[in-house]
Amino acid sequence: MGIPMIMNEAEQGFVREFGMALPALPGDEALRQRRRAAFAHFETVGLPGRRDEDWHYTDYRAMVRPPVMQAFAPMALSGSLPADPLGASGPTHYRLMNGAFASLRPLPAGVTIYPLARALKERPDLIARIGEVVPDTASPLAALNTAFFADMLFIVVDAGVRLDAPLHANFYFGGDMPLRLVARAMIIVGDGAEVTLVNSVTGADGVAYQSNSLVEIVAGDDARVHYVRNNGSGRDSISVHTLGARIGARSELNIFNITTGAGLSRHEIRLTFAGADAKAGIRGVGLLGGTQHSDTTLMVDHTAPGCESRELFRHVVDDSATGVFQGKIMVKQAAQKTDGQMASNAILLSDDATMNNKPELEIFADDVVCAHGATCGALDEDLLFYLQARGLPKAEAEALMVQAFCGEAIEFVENEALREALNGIVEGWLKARAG
Amino acid sequence: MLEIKNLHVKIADTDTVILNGLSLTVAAGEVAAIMGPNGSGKSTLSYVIAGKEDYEVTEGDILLNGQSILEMEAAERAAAGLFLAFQYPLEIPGVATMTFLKAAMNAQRKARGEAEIGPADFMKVVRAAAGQLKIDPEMLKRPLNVGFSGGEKKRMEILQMALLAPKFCILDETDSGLDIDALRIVSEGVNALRSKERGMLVITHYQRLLDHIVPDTVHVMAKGQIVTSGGPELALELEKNGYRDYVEAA
Repeated sequence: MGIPMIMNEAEQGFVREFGMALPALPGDEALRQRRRAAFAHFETVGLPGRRDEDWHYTDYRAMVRPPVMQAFAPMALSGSLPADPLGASGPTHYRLMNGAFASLRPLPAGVTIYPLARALKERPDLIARIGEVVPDTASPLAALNTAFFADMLFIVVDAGVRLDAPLHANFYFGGDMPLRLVARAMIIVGDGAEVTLVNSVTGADGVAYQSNSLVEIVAGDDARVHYVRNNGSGRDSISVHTLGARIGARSELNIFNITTGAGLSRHEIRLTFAGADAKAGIRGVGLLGGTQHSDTTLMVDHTAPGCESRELFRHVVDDSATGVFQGKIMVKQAAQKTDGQMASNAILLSDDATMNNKPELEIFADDVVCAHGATCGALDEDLLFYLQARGLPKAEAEALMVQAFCGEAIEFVENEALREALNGIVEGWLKARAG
Repeated sequence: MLEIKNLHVKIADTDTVILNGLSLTVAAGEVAAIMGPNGSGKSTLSYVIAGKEDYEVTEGDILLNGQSILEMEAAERAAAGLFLAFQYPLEIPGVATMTFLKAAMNAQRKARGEAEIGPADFMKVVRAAAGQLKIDPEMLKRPLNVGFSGGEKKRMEILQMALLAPKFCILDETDSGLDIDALRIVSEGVNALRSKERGMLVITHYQRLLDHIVPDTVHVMAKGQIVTSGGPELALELEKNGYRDYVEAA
């Protein structure tokens, strides 16, 4: 039992909001009970901040504004949807606009999407699996997500189904009211299935909206799952995204995230190797400017033997922005022959830019290969001179070096069209920076 | 073509004087060699001509075809036709050699108001130049200089020199790190680029390179100055007697 917490304004706001929102939130009595329990957990722990080890560099409790009204229903957009930066990599299958789901085109055979309402009617077994990978007690933000989510999607890929084209989802916030969005998905990939999921998140600048999204991935044995996410949230928004994955024996999971948006973002990835001889790659690029603060936190849990994990994050930090990378590889006693390698590299483009790196290894098995490394520095002056001496003006030389730096992480994305689109995001960021 | 007049240079951060009233003229079509002991300022001279920012010119001037280049950025000097083959070519992880070559060629063309080179023409000239230098085309797909041997890196410098077709070339210790065969290939590459219109400044410690790239003039540098000048025979004399007499005189 801890000391009773004194709630700050934001926490008090969540308490008020929950009381009002609960009757309006979808779900049967069982789900409502889940929501109550999740919120009760939140009330005991409060918002995460500096006093929490996992949040050492991101004082979310102090940074978050008192909760604003939650968005439940789609709102009319003034004007048209902006172009999706990952749009060139394939057609969009579904969209979550201001928190509400819309299916845009038929799904390939072997894939079924159950929005919450349909799952409540047809698949109580799916409802029961909510929180299977990321329990509500895993983090206060997971608890808040369960308590408040307005809609969710269950995406089920049948065993043995191999999809060449990505399943493309577009998440957009387009209002001008500073609303709160709470979205959730559970992706269940059957044994031997292969799928590429693309989540492209964009939103209007100039609106202080807040989003809390949570995705759970359960991959069966021998499955291959690729998950590519673009966080292009509005520059004044607060965006927290939790991605939990549990993967089976001999499966392969490749996660790639690129962040250019949001004023404050937290990307928390929790991966558990549940079966032997599986492989996972978690990689990403963050391009930050202005006063942006972006936190990437990984927890990789090797519980089964013979698994391989590769983590590579590259940040480019300009102006007075702050990047955070925390990565923890845990190797349980049973996870012999684990091969884990983690690296975080950052380029600081201005004297006021900050990067915090905290790689960690926790190893309880005795026959493993694990390594981690972190680097942080300015662009190499000698290299810049070399490029300039070959005729590239300074700005172009810098841009080429940044592109190359990010490209070394992007090249691990298997799908060529996606790689091109991701490189395009980097190029766009550099162009915007050059003015 | 290249005129260096009474050049005084110090390191910007520390005020250490490196060049101390150096004067040198290289005409179009001329290959001039600069020899000198370690620490005489040879590499600094090449960096200052190419426009590295770490140095400050406190007196004197550098003219390319009659125009002062001191106020020009490194990239502008390159576009104006100046090329420095580096003693230690840098590795650029993540940038395919091909991409780099094209970016450099097009940046210079753009600065000169010329149209970009088309993909087909680019491939043709790169293949031809790489073939002459015995560079495996597969290497051009790899990140520039990453994991290349010393000889491969130097060949890559000469490849860039051939593609960028500069008016004036500076070769900074191009022979360092080369075995006998690589030295021959690199020298042949350089000799193929000798022309009536192009000037070259070859910086080296050793006479060996000058057996392959035979200079028109040889200059001896010590303590930041040119202390004596002569023909190719001067290099042979140095090889026999060393630099001591000149260093002491300077």
